[in-house]
Amino acid sequence: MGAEKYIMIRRLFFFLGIVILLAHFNAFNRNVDASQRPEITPDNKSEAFARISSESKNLQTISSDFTQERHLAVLKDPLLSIGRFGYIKPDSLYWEITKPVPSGFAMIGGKARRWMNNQRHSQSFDLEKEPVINMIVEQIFAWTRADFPWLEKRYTITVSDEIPTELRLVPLSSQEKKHISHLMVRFSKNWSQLNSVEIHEKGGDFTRIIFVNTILNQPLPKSFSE
Amino acid sequence: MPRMLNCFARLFDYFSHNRILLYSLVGAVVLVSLITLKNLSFTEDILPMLPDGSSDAALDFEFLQQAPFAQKVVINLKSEGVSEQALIVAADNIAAHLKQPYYTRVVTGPNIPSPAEILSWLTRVTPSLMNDADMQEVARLLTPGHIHMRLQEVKNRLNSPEGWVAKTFLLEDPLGFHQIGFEKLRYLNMFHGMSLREGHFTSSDGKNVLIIGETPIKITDVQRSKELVGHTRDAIDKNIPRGIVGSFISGHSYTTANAETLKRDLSIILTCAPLIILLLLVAFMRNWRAILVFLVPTTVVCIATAGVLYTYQTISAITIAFGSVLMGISDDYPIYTYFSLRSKKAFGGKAVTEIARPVLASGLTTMATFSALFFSDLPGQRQIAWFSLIGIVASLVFSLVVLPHLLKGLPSTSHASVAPGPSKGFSYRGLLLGGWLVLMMVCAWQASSLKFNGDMRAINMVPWALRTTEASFRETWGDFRGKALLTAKGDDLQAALRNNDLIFDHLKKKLPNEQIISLSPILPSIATQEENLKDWAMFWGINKDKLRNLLAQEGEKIGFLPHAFDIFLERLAVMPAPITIESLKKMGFGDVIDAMIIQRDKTTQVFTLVPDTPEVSSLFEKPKDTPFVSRFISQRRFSEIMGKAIFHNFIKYIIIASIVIILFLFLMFRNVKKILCALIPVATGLLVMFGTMGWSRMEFNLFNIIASILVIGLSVDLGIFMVSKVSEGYDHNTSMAVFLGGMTSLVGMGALALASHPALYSLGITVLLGMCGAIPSALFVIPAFYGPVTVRA
Repeated sequence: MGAEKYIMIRRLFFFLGIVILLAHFNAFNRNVDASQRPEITPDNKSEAFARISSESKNLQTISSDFTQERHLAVLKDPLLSIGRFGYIKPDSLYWEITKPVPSGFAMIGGKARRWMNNQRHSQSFDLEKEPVINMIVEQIFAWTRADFPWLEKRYTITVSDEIPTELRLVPLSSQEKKHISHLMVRFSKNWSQLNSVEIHEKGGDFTRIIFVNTILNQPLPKSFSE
Repeated sequence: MPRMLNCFARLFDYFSHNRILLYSLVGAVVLVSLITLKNLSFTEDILPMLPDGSSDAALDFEFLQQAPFAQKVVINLKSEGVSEQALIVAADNIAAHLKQPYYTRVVTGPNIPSPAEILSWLTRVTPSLMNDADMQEVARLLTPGHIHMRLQEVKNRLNSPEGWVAKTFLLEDPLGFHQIGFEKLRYLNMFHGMSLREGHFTSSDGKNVLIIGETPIKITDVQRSKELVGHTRDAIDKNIPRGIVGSFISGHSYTTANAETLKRDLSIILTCAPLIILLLLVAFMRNWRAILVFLVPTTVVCIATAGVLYTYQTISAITIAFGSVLMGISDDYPIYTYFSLRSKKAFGGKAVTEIARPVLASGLTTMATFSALFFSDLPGQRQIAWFSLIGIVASLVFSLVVLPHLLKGLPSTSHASVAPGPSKGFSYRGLLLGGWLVLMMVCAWQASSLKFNGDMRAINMVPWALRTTEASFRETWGDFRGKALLTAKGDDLQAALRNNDLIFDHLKKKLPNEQIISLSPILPSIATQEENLKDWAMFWGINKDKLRNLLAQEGEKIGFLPHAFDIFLERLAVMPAPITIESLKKMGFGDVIDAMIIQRDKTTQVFTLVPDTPEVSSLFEKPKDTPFVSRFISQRRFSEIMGKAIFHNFIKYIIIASIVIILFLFLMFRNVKKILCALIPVATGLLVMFGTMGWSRMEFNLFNIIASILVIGLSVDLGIFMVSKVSEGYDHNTSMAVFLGGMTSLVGMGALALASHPALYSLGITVLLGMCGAIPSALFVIPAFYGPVTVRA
């Protein structure tokens, strides 16, 4: 696997992180009366980004379950898995697939570890030598700074014509374009929460992650921070 | 001889009328010497005591200097309760403070790219690394069970976070052939139990981290080594947090420890020896002229030092320390002159001529004995020989030409005396000789168990703290500094690598894998790579369809489509570009490559590291039995070579010295009995020395060769003086001269026994032992052996 592809995947995950967090920030507003909340449209994208930026100041934790579907050309059927995701401000991140084969990674207080099969047998690893995971971690953390100008330098962000609550992100980098076709980020009707993220690869493979049970600013399970 | 001796009478007469000229000449020589000494700079390292030239020992020593860690500083940080993360932070902090000009590069971990990048590279190049055993392993994988298991694992990984990243990688190498290449990287791990955490060298328990510093400072550069050690100690002390203990190890620490010890020893030796010699002279002579006698050895040491400096430009601290010995030797002649002149009724040229005979014979014999050291491979021993020769010549000239003028007016105290042995009757004589014979037999018996030790570390100063650090490093990281080297030589890199491949194949059959550190598994020669690729192509030419069917069959059971592994199957036929030094350096193995490959003078040497044990050494004892050319170099083998060289040198010196001494004694005495009598102190001194060493399990090192030469030279002096007088009738003044000369020699050499440095201590204590045997034997055994003599009035 070449370095180019790593850069591509790093950016992809950067974006994935941003999208997930963006969605959860919106989810933070679910308790507000929907009629009082302005609708986010392509015309007020900048305004929406600004609102997310201000909301991020109040964010402390996120937890969410997810279902992942990997549609790969080499497989007869998609790979299905379920897992959970957690974030604790400012520098802890947890991503775990619980079924069918447990695996995951965590970044807690500057220390990274990952596991396959059993979390108790996790191994620490050098984040700097793992560019993909490093980028996920770095950029998710960077998201707390709500750096939208940086994001828009790297992706063309448009709203889908068919589904008004679906964002389509196309990489601008030619290197990234070689491997990633685009990303689709779908929100609930009122933009209040993220429903799914799809990462479409150049060869036609894609991964869909569907989020459920998102909870904000609540204490996370102990295992998230161990 | 007598005619020649008359020249001393003529010189005496001449200078009697031209004393100002004589004193001016002496003053000029002393002045020139002192001016030369103004530029005195001495080397405190042990280098002069290592062989030069093209001997096996010299070549081995040169290779040992090129060993991977010979010139590096290795720092260990040990946790005493702090986390691994804290250790890593401290390591980075300390590494940042190890700066130019002392360090050119400091690493806390290998400079490798991401593990994924290495794995990807390994997947591409593994076919070039596959040897016969690896191909057999691959053949074993081609079963439905193995393939099913592997594909299930691939599927699980595709579904994990790792699968996001590694999809292409997993599909390109579903059977994990890269793991075979990955296993070969283990052969590059020089540290036992080392693991990598966050890109840092850490111990497997996570309680130690390692920092490796490259320095341009040679371990033989004492001054800069001291600065380097100080800089390193400062960087650790100032930047280490609580709960972490820092220690470091490098050749420079040993250099510094040796240099500091030698300096301390020099000040003790060069203060004590002259002071005690002066006190002895004053006490026994009871005349202010004792100071004039004392001035002879003092001046002689200055002249000899200046002479060595003039010849070699620099002087070893060991030679300087030998100055006290030279004082002890060179004062024998003025002492003898003093006591002889005191016994003469007529003070003139004739008296000087009479003295000159034994003094010259004694001096020339000692010089001839020391000359044997000129045949040594060790520059330090040759320097000591030169130093001693200059000193003895100067002392002879002062004693026979200058001193008689200074002693003019010395009151005569000639009186008859009775020789201690014969005068007390036969029973006493028999008892004495009997006792002496028994002592000799006991010593000879004990001397048979004497062992020759060529280990340079045994004569190096290793302070307790350094010894503890060494042990701690060994416990944590293995004996990475003590590994034996195997060299594969070639006219070019490929020839050397090919040779290295043959060595590795040989070792693989004899040693467990974890004991071999070699480049061969990861950097075989191009020829070997081509052979491997040929085998690879042949194997898949036969087995590719079988594998295709197995992948399709087992893949379908798990859910893979039939074309899932087409890329993998296509790649089996792709021949990768050869692995080169450059490609390995790109993958972050530059440090290992630089440590293991030495390209110099149009030849290339590739090192392999193996345990330094007799078993491993024995594998290379008969190079003709092996299909490759290699040289086995290790500290242990070096010690063995040095031990053998010491033994051979010792025998050579003993033979040369014996021939020369017997020749001189024959020319002087022309009488077998007298010759045998004069040799009694030599035999007694050597036997007592070797016997005591054997009894007390002291090993004979290269400094003891010098000790033997010293004992021979000094003992024969005593023998000549005693035989000269015993044969002509016993004289109290001679006895006094022999006794005092012996005592001052004992002091000069005994001062070395005060040294903390093992080399000087060893030299001092053994000479002391030898002289403790030689002096009494000269004083008592020679008269007893010679028999009754005419008592001279």
